[in-house]
Amino acid sequence: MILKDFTEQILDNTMVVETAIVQIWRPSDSPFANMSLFLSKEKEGMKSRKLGFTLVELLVVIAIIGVLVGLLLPAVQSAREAARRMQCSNNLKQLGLAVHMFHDTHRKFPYGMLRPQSPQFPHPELSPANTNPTRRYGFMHQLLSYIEQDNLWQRWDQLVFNNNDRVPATAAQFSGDHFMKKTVPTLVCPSNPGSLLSEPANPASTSNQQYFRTHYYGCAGTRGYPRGGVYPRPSLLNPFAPAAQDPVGPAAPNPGYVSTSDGILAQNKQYNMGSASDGTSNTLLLGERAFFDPIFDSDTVLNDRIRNWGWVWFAAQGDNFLGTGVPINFRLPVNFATLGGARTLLVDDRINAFGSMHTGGAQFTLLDGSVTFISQSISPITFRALGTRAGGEVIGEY
Amino acid sequence: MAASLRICSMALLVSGLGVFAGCGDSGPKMAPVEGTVSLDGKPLNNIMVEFWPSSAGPRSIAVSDAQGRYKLMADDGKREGAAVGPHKVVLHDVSVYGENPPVGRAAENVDVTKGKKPRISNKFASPETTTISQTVEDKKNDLNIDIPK
Repeated sequence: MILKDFTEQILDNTMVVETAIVQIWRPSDSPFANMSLFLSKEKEGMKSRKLGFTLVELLVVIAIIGVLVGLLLPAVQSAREAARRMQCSNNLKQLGLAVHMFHDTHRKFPYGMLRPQSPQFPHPELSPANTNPTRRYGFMHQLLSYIEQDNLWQRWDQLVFNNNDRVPATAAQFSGDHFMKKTVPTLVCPSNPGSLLSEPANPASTSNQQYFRTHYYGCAGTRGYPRGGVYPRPSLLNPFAPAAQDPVGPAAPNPGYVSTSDGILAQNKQYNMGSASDGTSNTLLLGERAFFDPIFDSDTVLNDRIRNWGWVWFAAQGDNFLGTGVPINFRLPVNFATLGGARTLLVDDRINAFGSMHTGGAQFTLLDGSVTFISQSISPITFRALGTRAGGEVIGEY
Repeated sequence: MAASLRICSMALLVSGLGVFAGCGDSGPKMAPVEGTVSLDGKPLNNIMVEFWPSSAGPRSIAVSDAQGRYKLMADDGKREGAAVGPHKVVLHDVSVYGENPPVGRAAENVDVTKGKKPRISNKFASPETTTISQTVEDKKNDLNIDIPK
C-alpha cells in the first residue's frame, strides 16, 4: 500500500515537472499554449494503446490468406493445364493439316505403316527377298516434310533402314542413333509425364538403344495392334474380315481380337478422301496416348513399360496407330492380377487405347482437319463407330 | 471479443473447406450386376464378359469362375457393377490363353493361343456382331447369359 502510494506520487510529480517544462518551453501567449494539455493527454493514451497484433488476429489473417490461396491455386493449376491442352490441340491441328497437305500432293492419305513382312507390301523391288528386310516407315515419317522437318526426312536412309538404327553410318552427322533419339516438338503433348525417350531397348546390349516416342497416333479403325498376329482371312465365321488383311509372319489367329483395316490408316495401304464414306467429320484421323499406367508398369509378369511403346522412328503397329475398340483412357484395371486369361486381351486393349493426361478425356483430329475433345464418358459403342471410315453407323451426339 | 474473433476464424476455415467439398466425379449411375454364363444349359468357366453401354458410361468386365458365375466391375477395376441402361454383351473365351500374358514386342508374331480353339463363336467378340444384349436396372441385377448356339 505504501509502495503504491509512493509510486503514484512519483508519477504525479513527473507529470507536473513535464507540464512545467512544456509550459516554460512554450510561452502561454503562443498559439500553441493549450498544446501542453493535448500532449499530456496523448501521453496518457499511449500507455493503454496495444502495440502489434494479438494471436487471434494473426490467426484470422492467416486463415483468410489460406482460404484465398486455396481458391486461387486450383485456378492457377487449371489455367496451366488449359495452356498445355491448347498446345496439344495445336500439335494435333498441325498434324491434321500435314495429312491434308500429303493428300493434296499424293492424292492419297499416308500409309498407316509401310512394312515389308507381308505379301501386300507395295514395293516388291524392295521386298525381303531383296536386300532390305527391315525397310519400315512409320506414319509420322511420311509427314516430316509437311511439319517443317524436311531436313530430318532428307537424313533418313530410305534404302537401308538399319543405317537409321544402330549400324553406325560413315559420316558422323548421319549417325542413326541421333535419328532414333531425334525429338520433334510437334509430336509431344506437354501434359504427358516422363522422359521423351523410351527405356533402353535392350539394357544388356552395348548399344543401349533408346528411342524417341511420339504422343500422337493415327487411328487404324477399331483395332490397330493385334497381339498374336491376328489377321484372319474372310471366312464363313467372319465374312466381313477385309480381304486386304496383311498376314504378318506365320502366326495363327488370336480368336479374341481381329485386326480390322476399318480405319482411314492401315498397314501397307493408302486410302483417299473418298474412302471415308462415313463422312470426314465422323471419322477419326489422329489421337493421343496416355503414358501413365501404374498397373501396366508395375506388373512383374508383363515386365514391360507403357512408355516403351510409341517408338516413332522404328514404328510397328503398336507404335503407329491405336484403335477405337477400346474406351478412351483405358488403363489396366487395379484388379488386373486376378483376371487370369483375360489379361492377354486387356494388355492388347491397353496398347490400343487412346487417352491423355488432360482431365476427363482426350483430344482427337477428325478427318476433316478439326480438333475436338472427346469425354471419356462417351458410350464406348459411339466411340468405336467414330474410328471406322466406312462402318455405316449413325453417330449421334457425343 | 476474442471469443467472437475465434468463432469468425473457425467459420472462415470451415467455409474454406466447404469450397473444396463436392468436387468428386459423379459419373453415370452404376448398379451391381452378377449372374451365370452358360452354354447348352451348362455353366461355362473362363469366359470374359464385357458389358458395353449404349449410352454414356464405362465398359464393365468380369471373368466367369468354375461355376460360371461372373460379377461385373468397371474396366478401371474400382467401381462395382455396370452403368444403368441397355448394354451389348461381348464374350471372349479366355481359356485359350495361357495363365500369363505374352510379354513385350515378341508377342506380336507368336500364336498366343498355341493352337487352342475357342468354345464359343467369334461373333460374340465384337459389340458390332454380338447378338446378346442385356438391360441393367437401378437395383441389384442378376443377369444370366445363355450363349445361343
